[in-house]
This record gives sequence, C-alpha cells and structure tokens, in this order.
Amino acid sequence: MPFPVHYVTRAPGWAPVGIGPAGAAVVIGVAAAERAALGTSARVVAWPPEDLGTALAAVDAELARLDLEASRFRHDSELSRVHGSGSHVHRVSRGLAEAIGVALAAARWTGGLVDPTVGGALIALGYDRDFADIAPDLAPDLALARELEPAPGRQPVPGWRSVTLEGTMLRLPAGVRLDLGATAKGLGSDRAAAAAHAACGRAAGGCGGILVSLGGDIAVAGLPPLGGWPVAVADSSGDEAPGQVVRLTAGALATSSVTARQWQRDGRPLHHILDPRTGWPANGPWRTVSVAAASCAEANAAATAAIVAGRDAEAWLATTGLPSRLVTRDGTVRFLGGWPDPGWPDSSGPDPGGTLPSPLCPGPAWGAPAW
Amino acid sequence: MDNERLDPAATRSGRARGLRQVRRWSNGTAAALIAATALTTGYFARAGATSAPAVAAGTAGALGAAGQPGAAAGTRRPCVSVPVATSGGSGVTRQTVIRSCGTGGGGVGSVPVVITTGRSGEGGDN
Repeated sequence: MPFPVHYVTRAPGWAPVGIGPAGAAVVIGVAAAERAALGTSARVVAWPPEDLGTALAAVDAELARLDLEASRFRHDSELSRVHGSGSHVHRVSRGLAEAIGVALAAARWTGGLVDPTVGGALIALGYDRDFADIAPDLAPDLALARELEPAPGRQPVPGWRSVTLEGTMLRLPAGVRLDLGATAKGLGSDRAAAAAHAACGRAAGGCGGILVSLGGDIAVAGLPPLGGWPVAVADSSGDEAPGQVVRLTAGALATSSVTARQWQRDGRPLHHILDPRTGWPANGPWRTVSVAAASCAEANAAATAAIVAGRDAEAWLATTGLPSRLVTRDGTVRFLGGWPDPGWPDSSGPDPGGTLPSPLCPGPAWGAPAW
Repeated sequence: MDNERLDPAATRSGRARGLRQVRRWSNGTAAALIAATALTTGYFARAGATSAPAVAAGTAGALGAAGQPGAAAGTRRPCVSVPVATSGGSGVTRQTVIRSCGTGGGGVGSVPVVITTGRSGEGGDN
C-alpha cells in the first residue's frame, strides 16, 4: 500500500485505496480513499497524504448535505418533501435552490437536451428507487449492440420552462417531478472538492491538491500533481482494451454512458439517460461521451446532452468548445475540442496541429463556461 | 564656496567623491532591490503553492495527454504516474494498462492497474 493507512482511520466508512500496482514500492505522494455515497461510489485523492483525513471529513459533510437536499430516493430529503407537498410554491433551502438552479441553467444552456423535469418519466419507466434495487441481474451491455426499438406512447416531459426559481422561491407545477441526475453528481463533486481544499487549507495553513470523483464525475481543486491528475477514461464497453489516460490539471471531467444503469421493462431494454423530447431512453449513435469543463456540473450536463443530441452531438459540442471524447455503439472514438489524442504521448512529440496545451500549464481557452 | 567652485582641482576632487558616493548608494540600492525582489518572489511563490484557488468559476478545465514528461524542478508536488480515478459512467470495473513513469524502481513500462468505480447509482442522468 503506497500510503499510510492511518491517515484515513479518522474518517469512518472510508476504505483506503491503493494507487498503483499492488505490491510495488512506489511512493507517489498521494493518498486515496473510497466509500459508497449518493447511490454510487465516492473517491477522494489528496496530496500531501496527511491532508486526506481532513479532506474526507469535508467531503462527508458536503455529500450528506447534497443527499438531504436533492435525493429523490430519500423520503426525508428536501426534494421529496417538495414533491409530496400539495403546494405549487415552495421556499427551499439555499443548497437545494443552487442544485435546482444549476439544473435549470444546464437545461437552458443545452436547449433542453438535459431537463430536470424527467423525474416523472423515470418513475414511469421503473427507475423509482435506488438503482441497486432495480435490476442487479440484467445482462451487461444490453443496449450496446443496436439502437433501442422505438417505444410506443412516447411524449415529451413537462419541460424545464414550466419550473421557475427566483432566489429560494421555487414554483413547480402539480405532478412535475424533478430529477437532478444530469447535474447533481457533478455539482456534488464541485462542492466537495472546493470544500475539501478549503478545509485542508484551514487545517494545515495551506494544502496541495484534491480530486473528488462521484461515480466517475471528477472535480479537482488546488494544485495538481506534476503533469496533472492522471485519470482513466472508460467507455463502459466491458471489453478489456486499455482505456485512455488523460491528465486533468484544473476543472473537471465527466462521462455519461448508456451502458451503465440498464434495466428491463416488459422485455424492453432501458437505460437511465432519457430524451426529454420523448420521455424514453436516448436512442442515438453514442454509447459513451466524456467532457472536460471548468466545473463538473457543466461537464456532466454536456456529456449527457451529447448522448441525447444523437447525431447532432458533434455539432452541439463544437459550439461549446469543450474537449470531448465520444464513443459510438460500434466502438469508434471521436475527439473534439482539443481532447488529447491517445497516440500523442507515445509519439514523443507535440500534437501535429500544435494546439494542445502542455499538461504542465493551464492551457489556452478550453471553452468558456456557458453559464 | 566661490573659491572652491573656481578651483578646478578641488572641483574635480569633489566631483569624484560625489560620483563614488553615488556609486556606493547605487550599489547598495541595487543590492537592496535584488534582495527585496528575491524575498517578494519567494513569498508569492510560496503563497501560490499553498493557497491556490479551488475549482474556479470561469476557469476552463484543462486536459493533457498522459505520459508527458513530468516535472518542473524545485517543486514539491508529487509525480503520479498511474490513474487515480476513472471517468466512465457508474458501474464500471476495468483493468487498465497504463504507461508508468514509476520512480521507485519501476521505470517506464506497462503495469496493470485495477480501477473500480461504483456498482450502482442514483438518479437518471437526465
């Protein structure tokens, strides 16, 4: 184990994670831990290693706060209380207002490709509880081989324009159910990374860097390790081909995939990324999209929007300028916005176009945040 | 004063003394400036290293391809040669072979790294 285990013993529930090949005597100067959170796994990586305990405590607080604010699977969450209320007007906490505000901003930015009012459609399709309780035995990669068959009775979701948020005053039409899945994990990573970095700074009079991953939606804060945080990018295909490794020096990286969280209903394979225009799982040519952006909420929204956009995804992503990696259902990989070509590191030279930034530098404009 | 002003030798001598004095002041000032600059640079370098901002709104994400040569000399940041996380959508368990720049005797080579992410998840992505 390349880091002292005692660094994490003050953080109950977290398990230390070994970085690097098992048994290798490589001291790499970071420490990591992982636990289940928000229905997925949370991983925190910190340097220097002694900051990990402080970082985990801060991340715990942020994840607990987000869970109590925005989970639609907890009966005691604030969002569930909003849904269960007979009123159409709600005074919500600042935290939930932020989460809903980010979701609405993402909807506006993507032209409705992501839409928080898909909650009712997800429930109707059977995604009404924690995913672990839905279909643990479903064959993997069910949605990979072909595009989904058109489903009968499709209709648009209510639409994000039906929801208004002014400060902490939320107006939600009767029957509309919010699902913040397209942005909430990203927001959680952003919040947690920033909070952990701030906490380490207070505790130690300054700290190095923090990486927080919530189910693969990754945000970093502070200084990265030399060359950036190495992050593997998987396309969830289940094959054994090596994944691309990129280095993240700032901001965030998120991936959306139709190969994760699949289930069946009436013999029909379904996945969790809904097209708001139909209320059914998105049925485009992409199985996985990864996007880097200034914030993880933005990256998360863009990756999901690209899946939903289908054949228009490349054109839409081009308008954002965000570095993106798209994988088609047959495994073809496309790169946009300056995403590093995987052949570059081994070619011992810069990219032919000369446009990629050095991983040691923040780099040129990778796309200004759109919201 | 008038006599001194009119005495060329005395004038030359006084001018030379003045020039030497100015040179001494200049040298002293320059040395002080150099020292102050060094101190200030060191202070801000340290401040920058210890209080870099968190994920900042308005700062775009930055990516580089892995495997680039690492390090600027003189920094204390770690060199991490293996993936510390995976972005691939929830529910992925993969074995990834990456190129290592291991410093502990590993050298450059391919090492298998098992990366595990969550097995389930909450909420749709839309």
